[in-house]
Amino acid sequence: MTYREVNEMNRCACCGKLLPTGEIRAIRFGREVEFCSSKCERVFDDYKVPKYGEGALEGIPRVVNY
Amino acid sequence: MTASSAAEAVVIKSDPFLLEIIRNYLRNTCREMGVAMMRTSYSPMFNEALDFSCVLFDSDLEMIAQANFCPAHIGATVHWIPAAIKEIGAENLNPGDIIFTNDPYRAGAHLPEFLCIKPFFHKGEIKAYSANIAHMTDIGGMVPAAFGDHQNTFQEGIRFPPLKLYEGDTEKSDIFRIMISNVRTPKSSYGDMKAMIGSLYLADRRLEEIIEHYGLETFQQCCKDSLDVSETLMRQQIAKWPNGEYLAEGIMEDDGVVPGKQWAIRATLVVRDDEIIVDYTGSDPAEKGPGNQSFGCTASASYNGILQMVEGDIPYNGGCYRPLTIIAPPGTMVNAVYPSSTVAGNSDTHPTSVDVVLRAFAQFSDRSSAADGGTCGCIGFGGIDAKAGGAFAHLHLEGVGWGGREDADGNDALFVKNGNCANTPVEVAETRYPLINMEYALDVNGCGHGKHRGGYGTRRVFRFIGDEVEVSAHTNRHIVRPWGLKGGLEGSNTQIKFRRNGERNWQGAREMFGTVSPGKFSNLVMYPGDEMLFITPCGGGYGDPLERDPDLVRQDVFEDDLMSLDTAREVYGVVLDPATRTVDESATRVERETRCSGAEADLTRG
Repeated sequence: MTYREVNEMNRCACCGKLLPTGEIRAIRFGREVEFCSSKCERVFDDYKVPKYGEGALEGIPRVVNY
Repeated sequence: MTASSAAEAVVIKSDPFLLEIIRNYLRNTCREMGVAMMRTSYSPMFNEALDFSCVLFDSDLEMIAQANFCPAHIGATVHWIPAAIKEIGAENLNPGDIIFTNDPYRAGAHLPEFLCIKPFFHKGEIKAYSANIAHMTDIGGMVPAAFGDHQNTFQEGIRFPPLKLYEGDTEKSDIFRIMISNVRTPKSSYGDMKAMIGSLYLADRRLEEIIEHYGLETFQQCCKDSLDVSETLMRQQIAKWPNGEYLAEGIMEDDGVVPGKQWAIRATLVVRDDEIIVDYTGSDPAEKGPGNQSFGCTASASYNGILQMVEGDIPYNGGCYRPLTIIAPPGTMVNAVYPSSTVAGNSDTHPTSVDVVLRAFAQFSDRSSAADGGTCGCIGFGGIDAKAGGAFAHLHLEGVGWGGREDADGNDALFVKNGNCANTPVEVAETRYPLINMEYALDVNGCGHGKHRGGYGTRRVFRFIGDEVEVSAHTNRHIVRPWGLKGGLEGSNTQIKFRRNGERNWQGAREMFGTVSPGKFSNLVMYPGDEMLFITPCGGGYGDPLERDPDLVRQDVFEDDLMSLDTAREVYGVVLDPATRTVDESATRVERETRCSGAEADLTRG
């Protein structure tokens, strides 16, 4: 049996939503991140990054592979 | 469609009349699913409170129809259903399968909300999904009916990740056996689950009928066009609002666990041309108690507030949500992470979140309302009782006063904005459970005065008649009052008090039982003849009370017995003649001219 608890799953780097399955992978601030949609990827780049800088990734856990 | 397409006309390939027919057919299918659940379920949460929602999704996992049931579920469906299907894998689904989960961390709502999803197959391929979310009265855990002062998800009850509840039209009885052996209400929980399942089969039949009638290609084109129409209308609406960033804040008064600590929800409403971002960055870290929102819950609150501001009629479906982005930092109280407790996030934090969004809108829109009573009034009764047939759990919901708004007073005694639920009728509760209602009335002792005043809350007295009844609660606004808007005054507070059999004086939970909170506690034991007083808040007022139509004040005093002559004069500057029951217009004019109208309220803070 395999079971992955939710705290071992990735989150969208923009909205913070849990991502039980792999979505859009990208590199931001030298880190591998994941986005739930192309919309979130765009909002991250043109809203979160200009507003928060590297703080845009605050609270977003490191990406794991599953 | 792109972010800059607001000015574009809606271009559709479908016949517009047929588009409307199919759109309304699908919405009506969702309604019919709900009626089926109401008529076939066992618990009052389903057949009286109607705490459920029914939706249809297309094969691309966009919502194509919803009915007007519980707004608290809608945001969750938009995010939760795709996540659950992706986790199971659409390629792993077969005809007759049903997915089930109640996991709040996977963009769900809160643990009592059970989600069932059924893929609709046509000629061997998935062409749509039907789904429903419904509130189960009891999910096991440390208190009957799930609402108390929990500190983690393990205390809340049993949690199911997405799994197949049915395979090939056959129920997986092992899962049902685990489920019903972990709750206090096995019979009604099983019956309620079967009502959910039956509703999904009904949707299957309706989808098959419409596709048979119009053909698959026409059906799918209409679904696609319907989504695009809603998206375009939503973008056109947003484009009418002024670009800018509008910060608002609301306070949760306590969490039932940490004495004296308050938590802030902060939302920045960002209007950018034809898009909106609701950014909760800056909200406080998660509570230790149960008032944390899941992501789905926060999305629901945001969509709720935004849709209330929409002028005109936009068909609700996934297209409405395309221009909206929610940013909810993980680990804060608006995006709880495992194993934070979330059960009350969807009941008592949720209405404050909606009001925070409305408060942000109030900075440029007159459509916003003052804060409502801010609590679902969730009180759980439970224990062992022969009348109830053994172990029982009953979740009591209560209406509150809504905030005044630009064109009207707030609604009286109505469930908060996030729920759209009904209360359980006195007769039903008294027939099933060991309690009786000694009083049930509007509470007119508090009021959020204003040009348009807040609606009134309720006053209820329960008397317990069972050997031992355990009372638990998660209620809000005992300390922090609903805010007013644009010169309107604050509403009133919630109150919960108790007295033992034969005693005259009421005591709060802190005084009588030593609880941390006056409104968030678990398993207080009541004995026969003991009583509980429950008063819900009046909503905040909108606008300066001195601008209220004097004739409305006269009605409040003489026709509806809602306020006194003294209040009419002192707060509203309206002088009434008790002999003739009329407004003394000249005295009122003098009274009002001598008053100051008061300072403008701070629109950002709650």
